[in-house]
Amino acid sequence: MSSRTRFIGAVEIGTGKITALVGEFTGRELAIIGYGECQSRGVIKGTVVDYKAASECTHSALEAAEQSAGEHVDYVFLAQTGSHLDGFYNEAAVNVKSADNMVSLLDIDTVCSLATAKELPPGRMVVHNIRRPFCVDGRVVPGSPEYLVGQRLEVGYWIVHGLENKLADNIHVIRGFNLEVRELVLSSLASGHMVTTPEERQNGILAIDLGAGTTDFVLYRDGGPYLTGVLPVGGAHLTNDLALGLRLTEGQAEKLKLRHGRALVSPGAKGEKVWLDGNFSIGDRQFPRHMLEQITAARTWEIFEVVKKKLGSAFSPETCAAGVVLTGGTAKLPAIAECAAKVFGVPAHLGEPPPSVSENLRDPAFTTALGLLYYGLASSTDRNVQPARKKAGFFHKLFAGV
Amino acid sequence: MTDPTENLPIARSWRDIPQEVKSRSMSRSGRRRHALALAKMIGGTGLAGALVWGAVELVTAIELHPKEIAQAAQSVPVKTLELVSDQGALDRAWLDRTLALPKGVTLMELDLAKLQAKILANSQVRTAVLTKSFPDKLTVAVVERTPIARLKAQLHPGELRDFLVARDGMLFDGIGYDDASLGTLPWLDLGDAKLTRRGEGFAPIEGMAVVADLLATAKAEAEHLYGTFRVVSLARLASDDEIEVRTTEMTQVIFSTRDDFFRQLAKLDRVRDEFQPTREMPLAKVDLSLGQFPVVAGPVPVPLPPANTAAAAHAAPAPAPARANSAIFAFPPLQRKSSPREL
Repeated sequence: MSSRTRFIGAVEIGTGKITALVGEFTGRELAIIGYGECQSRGVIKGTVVDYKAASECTHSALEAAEQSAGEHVDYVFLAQTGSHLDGFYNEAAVNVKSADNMVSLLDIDTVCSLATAKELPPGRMVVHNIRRPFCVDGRVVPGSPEYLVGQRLEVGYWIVHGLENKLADNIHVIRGFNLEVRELVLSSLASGHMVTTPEERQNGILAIDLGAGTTDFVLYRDGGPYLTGVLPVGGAHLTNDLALGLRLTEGQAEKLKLRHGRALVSPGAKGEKVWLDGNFSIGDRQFPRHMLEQITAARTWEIFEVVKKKLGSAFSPETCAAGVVLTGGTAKLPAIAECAAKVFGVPAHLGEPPPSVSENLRDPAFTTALGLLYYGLASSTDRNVQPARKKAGFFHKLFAGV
Repeated sequence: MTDPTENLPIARSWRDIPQEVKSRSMSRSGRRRHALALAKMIGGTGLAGALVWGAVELVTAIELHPKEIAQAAQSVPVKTLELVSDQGALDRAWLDRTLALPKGVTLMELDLAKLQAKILANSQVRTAVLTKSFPDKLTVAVVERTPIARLKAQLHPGELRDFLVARDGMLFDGIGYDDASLGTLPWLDLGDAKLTRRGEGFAPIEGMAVVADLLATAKAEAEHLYGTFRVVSLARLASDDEIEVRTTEMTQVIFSTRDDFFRQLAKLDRVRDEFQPTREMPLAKVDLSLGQFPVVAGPVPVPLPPANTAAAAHAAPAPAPARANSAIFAFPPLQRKSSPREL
């Protein structure tokens, strides 16, 4: 192990469960060496509502991850979700300054500063500034426009912002474990990065992460994120609908959802009945499968409809040639891809992490945490912050964590 | 012209959220990690401080109280003096005499460079490595010169004595060698050359390397011939690239340094077999420097003088060999059918 090796934690504080992964980053390669998870408490719709409970769960997940890795985590990349997150588009343009009309770094800095300079309402903070491709005289430039010739340089940013106190709550949960939060990453960006390929992002793809409390989505166009969003609706709402509709407890409804829930009503469901437990115990009873499927399908359909509505004109089958990719725990619902395909009118499929990811981490529930590590490292590099080199050394190690 | 980025509204980022957290808001595991990190920091700082303090104290002590430091190190006298020699001629008694260490001296007091110079003052020692093994052991590892010939020389007026000559031309006394083994070494005749003084001894004799090659080849390949070598002369080495050897059976054997010594020794052996010279009837001259056919002159009826007297080369040059009744033979003899190639 070299002195440049860093152990990075990826933490997703979700509504259903809290996941922590430990990645060993050698400066060139990232290897997942440990993971831990814990049933979530004190978190509703991705937002911490009970600090103590959420802290205990998060810390036990982190401890389990550290134990399984056999190493102490140096810093953490934290996933951020919740309905308080919002985004807007802002763009700016400058005239190229040099006499030969060649775009310089100064022009790029100026236009980027102008495009990201937007006053936010009180109590709100920027989480991500997602840059869209530059335009030189209306010509889209996928990479850097430096040294290109033109008169007008334009750029647009999708600015994601959230409530300061809710962001701070999440960060303080990690700080309570005496760890620094090095990167805060939108859950949708993390999971989307993991289940889409660069080609799909170039062709346009919509990635939807269906969690327990929230549904995060990101629309990719021209190779990068174009638009993001969070819905405060998730798999827990399907459970809740079943509990209300069939007069069940939440635990019973969850059990039924996992065993018999479907995102589309199956043709042969009419007249068929399913048992609650199936073990002939006291209280075990039968429910019409058709009714059960109708409830879960209606809610799933509605979730996709809301996502489509939120995307508005940004989404169209023409601009989203690679279709829709689904991930997250709720994406395990049968026929959910067909449901998404019907709603969006484009092909849909379930997302899978790259083949390099080990078998026990290929479950859709780990996608966000995995994506956190990869996306977090990529964005760290983009900001020219080299986490492996920046503070390596005796004194950094000595004072780390104090 | 004003900068367009001046006075832009700055949106606060999540990075502006302070990450300091109070201990009471930490979980038990978080507090434990914090305490561990704090202990690590305090321990590390303490260790670094102790190292710095120790270094400062040491420097101060060396500057202000050097005697105390020396006394502390002088506490153990040298108990073991070990000699490691590749030849084994030099012994511990010689080392004791040479070093003459004062009684009760400690390793810290020893100046290894001076001791090494004392050892190297004896030309028999080629290299010497002295090692201090604390607390009380001094090891001296020496590589000795190997004698290849003997020489009588006068280092001080009126003091003619025997020296041994090494491959590199150095002369030395030859401590620790018994007379029997020294008696097998040939004497060296310098011819017209003179020994030159250097310091307390003599400067190395030039050209000894090639003589050493001849003698080593003879000793290894034809020991029966080597045993007859009495005097090796360098008289014609510089001028004719020839080494002249006097043996008990041949008054003058001339080897060429330009030809292979092994081949020349083989020819000499053949001549010896052919003519079977004796101490009483030695051959006058065998010249092996003339290509494939050695020139043989003799026999000479006059016996050679005793080797040890003739070998006092420098002090008393050997008498010229008797030439009476000498004759030149073609070799191999014409009546014989053997080819010189057989040699």
